[in-house]
Amino acid sequence: MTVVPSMESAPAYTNGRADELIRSGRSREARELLSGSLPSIERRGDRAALRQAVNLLGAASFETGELGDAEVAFNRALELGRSDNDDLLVARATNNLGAIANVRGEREQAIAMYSLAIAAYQRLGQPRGLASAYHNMAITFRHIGLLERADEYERRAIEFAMEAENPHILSLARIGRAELSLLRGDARLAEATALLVAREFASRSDPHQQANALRVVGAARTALGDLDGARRALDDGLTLAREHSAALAEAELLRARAELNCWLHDRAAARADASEAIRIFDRLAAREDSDKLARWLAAVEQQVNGQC
Amino acid sequence: MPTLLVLKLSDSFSALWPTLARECELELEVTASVERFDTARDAVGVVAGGGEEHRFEQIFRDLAPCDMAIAAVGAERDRRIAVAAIRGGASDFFSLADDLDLLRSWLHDQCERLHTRHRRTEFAENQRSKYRFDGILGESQSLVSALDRAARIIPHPNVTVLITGETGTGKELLARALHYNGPRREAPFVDINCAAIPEHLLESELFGHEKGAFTDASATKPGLFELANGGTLFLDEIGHLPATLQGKLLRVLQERQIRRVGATKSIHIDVKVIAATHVNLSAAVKRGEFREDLFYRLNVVPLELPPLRARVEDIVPLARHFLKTFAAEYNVPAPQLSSAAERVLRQRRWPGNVRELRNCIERAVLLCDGRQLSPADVEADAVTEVREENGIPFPAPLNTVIVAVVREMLELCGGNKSEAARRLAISRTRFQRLLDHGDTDIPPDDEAESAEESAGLKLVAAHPAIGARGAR
Repeated sequence: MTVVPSMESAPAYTNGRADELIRSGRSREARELLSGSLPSIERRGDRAALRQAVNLLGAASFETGELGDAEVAFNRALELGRSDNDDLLVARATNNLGAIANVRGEREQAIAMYSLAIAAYQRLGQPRGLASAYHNMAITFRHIGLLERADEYERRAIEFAMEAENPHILSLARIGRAELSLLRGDARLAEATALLVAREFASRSDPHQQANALRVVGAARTALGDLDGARRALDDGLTLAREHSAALAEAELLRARAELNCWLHDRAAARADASEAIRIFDRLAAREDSDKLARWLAAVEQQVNGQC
Repeated sequence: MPTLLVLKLSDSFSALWPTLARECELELEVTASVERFDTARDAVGVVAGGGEEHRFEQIFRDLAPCDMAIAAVGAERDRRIAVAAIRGGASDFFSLADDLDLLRSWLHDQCERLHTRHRRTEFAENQRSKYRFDGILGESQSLVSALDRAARIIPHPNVTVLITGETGTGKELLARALHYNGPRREAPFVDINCAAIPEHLLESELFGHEKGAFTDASATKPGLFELANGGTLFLDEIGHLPATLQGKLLRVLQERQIRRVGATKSIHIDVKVIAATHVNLSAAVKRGEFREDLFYRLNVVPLELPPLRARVEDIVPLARHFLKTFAAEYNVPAPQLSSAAERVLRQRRWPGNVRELRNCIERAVLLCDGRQLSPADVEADAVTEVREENGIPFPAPLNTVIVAVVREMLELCGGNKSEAARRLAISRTRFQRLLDHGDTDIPPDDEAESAEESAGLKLVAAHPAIGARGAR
């Protein structure tokens, strides 16, 4: 007699369900599901399912802002991947550990991890992984202030995203380049690139990223002095973000609109937008963003004559 | 589609294999012949005991030379049978029906590994066609002679190469072309920018480390040399390699062995090294900043890429090529170059070389509103304005120059802000402030932190950390 395990208790089902939950933004539920199932997956001795579950637990913890737990999970995934010769998992876990280091502000550590992830993806011949790791590397270089290098890495991300036929990373890297153009003072190019990306995301029905692209359009127009155009882009982005529960995009758009309101000397509106953004960042455990914006708001409040 | 190759020792489990093969999207082939495993390609193997488990050890010994993962499947959960199968060479042992879900998971895992192998071959082929040697554009004598020299070394898998040339001349492109057209093309091309990683991390990055080698070494980690094994390691900006690591790299080149940080044993490696630099290494040797012995070890085959100003005749063909490429990438009609625009391109200075030309054309494709590029579309603008060769814009507003100096120094110091600040003789805080505030008003050195943050008012400079989460 064979005892067929029920679908709900099978590791493949658990992992599939957790993956789905993470993708739909319900990472906290995914974490609970995985934390509860890991001991039984481990007991069954299904190494492949265990590796996948540990990696998913890391991803879910990362999404909910539990960086310490995410780091533990990814380190364990790395260890499992190495002992089982699962090179793809090794590459992914390394890339994810780089992302954790970057969020913590440990930029050099992040670059070191991404370099290893890139080498591992090269070994595997994984253009999608390469695109993701190069994009992450570009973000870190942008934070350091090495804008030209960041741009080169975004280009590579684009190149490999095209090779992998992955329009999502392609557009993320293009937005990254638009932001770099903005930082380098080329707002015209930033606006043109971000508009293009916003259209790309719209055609693929990805409202989260479309809203994100509209934020860059708004910021570029603000820099160009087209304040009406900036407001239109930011308002459209906010509507999209709210309609589709894209909390992070909403917070970032509110932050950009707070800055625009400051340009327009409307301190009350700036305060309202920034406070709302801080509330959302706090809910998402995006502490660095929240603290930075809170300091910005405090500086705005201190300005004389009620002007921003 | 990969195959599930089943060696049937009895008629037991017969009904199971078609179902498993279908679930795992595998073709099923059932055989009674051990020899079939010698010729099978792209397959996962199973030896189904079904009462004949006592033969496992011998069967697996007979199968041993084949390059395939093969599992033993028995009817009983018997430790001795499992041990005998593994001793004979089985990848794993499963007893049915208890382990059915584990067998299914193992098959999925093996299929994924086969897919990975396919992808690796496909990837190498794609890269090879992307980095074709004849795909490097240019007919100027200086470039052609550099490429001729490079082409002669392609068949030699072990020769060390040093590529020199100004920033943006295509050193990395050439390194990739050398790798993907050479005998190591199926193996990885691993690149590292020596200036991007600080000294205390670079050693472990290059050579790996053992568990416990230092405070953060919670697990053993291979380095880039190991990851590049069989392939090529491209050491970009080798001129920035710290002195302590120069000696270690020299030993690797001489002995073809590496030792992980904290390890007692050396590991043999088979890696072709290509190094590149935009600094004059022989001058660095004279200044005592670069080891002479390492320089000669690297400089076995020196390849120098010419700057764009030395190949003016290549500018317009390159520009046309970039026009076509970017028009296709952005899905817009490719604009034509007017003859006036061509003249501007030829006359303009290109301190950033081909990379700068590429950026200029990309920008023009995105911003141009007609079917023809005018001189204004390709003229130096506020951002890509006339720059000296060291990357400092001039003439330009004072703040622009200051910011450019700060960024240039940061590049020079490989991203090390403390070092960059020291060389500019300013505090690290002031350095950070100059970096953060872009070309907008810079608060004086002694202003409070809150004032710095209030620079968020200047959107361009103080755009917050957006997208920091990256792609997973």
